[in-house]
Amino acid sequence: MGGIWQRARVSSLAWLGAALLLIIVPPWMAGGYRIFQFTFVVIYLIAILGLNIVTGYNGQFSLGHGAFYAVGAYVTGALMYHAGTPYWATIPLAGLTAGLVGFLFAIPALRLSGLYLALATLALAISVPQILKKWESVTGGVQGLVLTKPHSPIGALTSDQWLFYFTAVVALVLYIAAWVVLRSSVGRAFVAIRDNEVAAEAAGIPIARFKTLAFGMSAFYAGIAGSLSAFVVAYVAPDSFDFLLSLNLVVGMVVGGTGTIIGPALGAVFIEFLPSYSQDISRAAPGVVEGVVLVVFMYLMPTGVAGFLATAGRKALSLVRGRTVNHGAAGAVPPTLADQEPRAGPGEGG
Amino acid sequence: MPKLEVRGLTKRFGGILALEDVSFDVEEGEIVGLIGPNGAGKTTVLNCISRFVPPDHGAIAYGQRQILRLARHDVVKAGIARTFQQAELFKTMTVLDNLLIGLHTEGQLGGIASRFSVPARWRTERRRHLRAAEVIEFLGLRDVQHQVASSLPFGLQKRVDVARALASTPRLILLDEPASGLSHEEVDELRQLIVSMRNDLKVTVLLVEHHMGLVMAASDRVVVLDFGRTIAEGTPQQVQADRKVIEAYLGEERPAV
Ligand SMILES: Nc1ncnc2c1ncn2[C@@H]1O[C@H](COP(=O)(O)OP(=O)(O)O)[C@@H](O)[C@H]1O
Ligand SMILES: [Mg+2]
Repeated sequence: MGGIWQRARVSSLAWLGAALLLIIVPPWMAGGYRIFQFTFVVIYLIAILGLNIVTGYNGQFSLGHGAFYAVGAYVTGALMYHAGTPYWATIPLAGLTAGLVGFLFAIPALRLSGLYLALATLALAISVPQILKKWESVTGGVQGLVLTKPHSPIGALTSDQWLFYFTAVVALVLYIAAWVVLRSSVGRAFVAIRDNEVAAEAAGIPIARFKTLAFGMSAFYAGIAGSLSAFVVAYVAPDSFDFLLSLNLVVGMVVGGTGTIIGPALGAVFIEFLPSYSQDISRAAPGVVEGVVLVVFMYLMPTGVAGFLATAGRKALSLVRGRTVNHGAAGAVPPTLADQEPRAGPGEGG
Repeated sequence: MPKLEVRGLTKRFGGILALEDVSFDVEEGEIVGLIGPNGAGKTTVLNCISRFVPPDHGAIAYGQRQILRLARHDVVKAGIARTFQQAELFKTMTVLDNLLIGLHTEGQLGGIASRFSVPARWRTERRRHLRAAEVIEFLGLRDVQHQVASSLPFGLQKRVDVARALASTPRLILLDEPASGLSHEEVDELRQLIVSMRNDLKVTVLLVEHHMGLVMAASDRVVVLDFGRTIAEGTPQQVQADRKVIEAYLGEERPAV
């Protein structure tokens, strides 16, 4: 028991160290637009993390997370634009509003599953930008809302560098929160529902409560990502939240590795950088390059990058350690129920 | 002492009358076999008790509790756990995690405070692990506890299904054909397990089974269903001698033993 805990602590310290490195270094590697791209990797990471909760862990397919992202972005945009609220103060409200929308959407969606649920979320993704366009007094309609870009409170940092650090810290906090929840009995219940709803319910898990919770939590994350994107870009407009955004989040989740903790980070890198690298390869048809890369990825790594790394890591480990790893388990003869007989015997007699 | 009382259970699926006025009792500490040819309605009885299927008529009481008023996920909290004919497992999870899910309701009686206090959650989680370890030991699953459930052979999967049900510390366990798909030796182990469950763990057992040898060897009392109706009830000896039972099983499978 102690050994496991110690190992768990060492490995989570290692993860935290790696995360801190990834937070501190990037803004000094490049300037201007590159930093902005890194910031978007972080924002997508948060959104994919959210999508991963409901789809990867809980098994409810969502093609509509762009909608929750948009809700978060507009709450922040409207508060900053109309009420002059400081950008950082809008984040919790943006997350909670999106979370509430997700929770409420999930209640009728409980009746749907599989493809039907995917279609319903798709409808949500398509209709939200339309609604935003119509509700002009608050959302600025087609024009959108132009916001003031946050200034860096630290003289040594540019505004872009500051925004990267700010979003990275938000992401780190959300990452740890997700990790804690997903490893608790709540996360276990999410996975149980994904794996076998009937058995989960028989085990005493209230399905409706956990499914709506997963949806709400997931939308909360997407909303925060949207909120961050609003002031990082300093502009919100309905066309930034089209269906392609929802689709990209799904691509990021699948490429990174569905239902894994590290997957969202890898997926976010993928969806942020793939389009620009595709541009470099073929100016004429970047979409084709993206498509081919995606197919190759899925072919080589059907369980996502995270799954691929885990398998590769396990193989490497067993190569290094030789076969001694397996011997402990394989050597022992599995005890059978017959071993229980001495216990059953006296009971039967008495 | 809670006693399971099934009264006048009737269930129709479209044109099929799956259950017709089925009544029987299971006393605390008994092992009751529920047998009958394929399609007799045995699983439907279990589905009614575990609230997966709403009966058209009838009542089910467990002690003071009216089971038909409970939500599906509250049945296990009332002390009734079940297994499934096809071993419904959480396939991507390890055996241990399957058992921990079986322990989901553990610690939920402590009220709101225990849900939101982090130390209380840790203590609950620790209790779950201790209890899971006990059940793993009891069922001899220690060497496979970290294996993914779906990677196990069918016989072991069925044992994990039983383990998960036992993990919730039920007072009554409903076993749906635990012997189907098991080898001869495995069936014998299963018989010992069922008896030990009752003798050592003090769990009452309602055993739905097709395997006559197992039912006759393990049960105190047997209820026989045929086409949704109770056609006989009594000790294994009485039931085996019953003319209606023999007729129901003719052309099906001769009652062994
Ligand atoms: N969910 C269902 N929908 C329709 N028919 C069902 C359903 N469940 C059971 N039945 C029918 O009810 C009858 C009894 O089935 P069941 O209880 O599974 O029998 P047993 O478990 O004794 O083999 C069968 O004719 C079966 O086809
Ligand atoms: Mg059956």
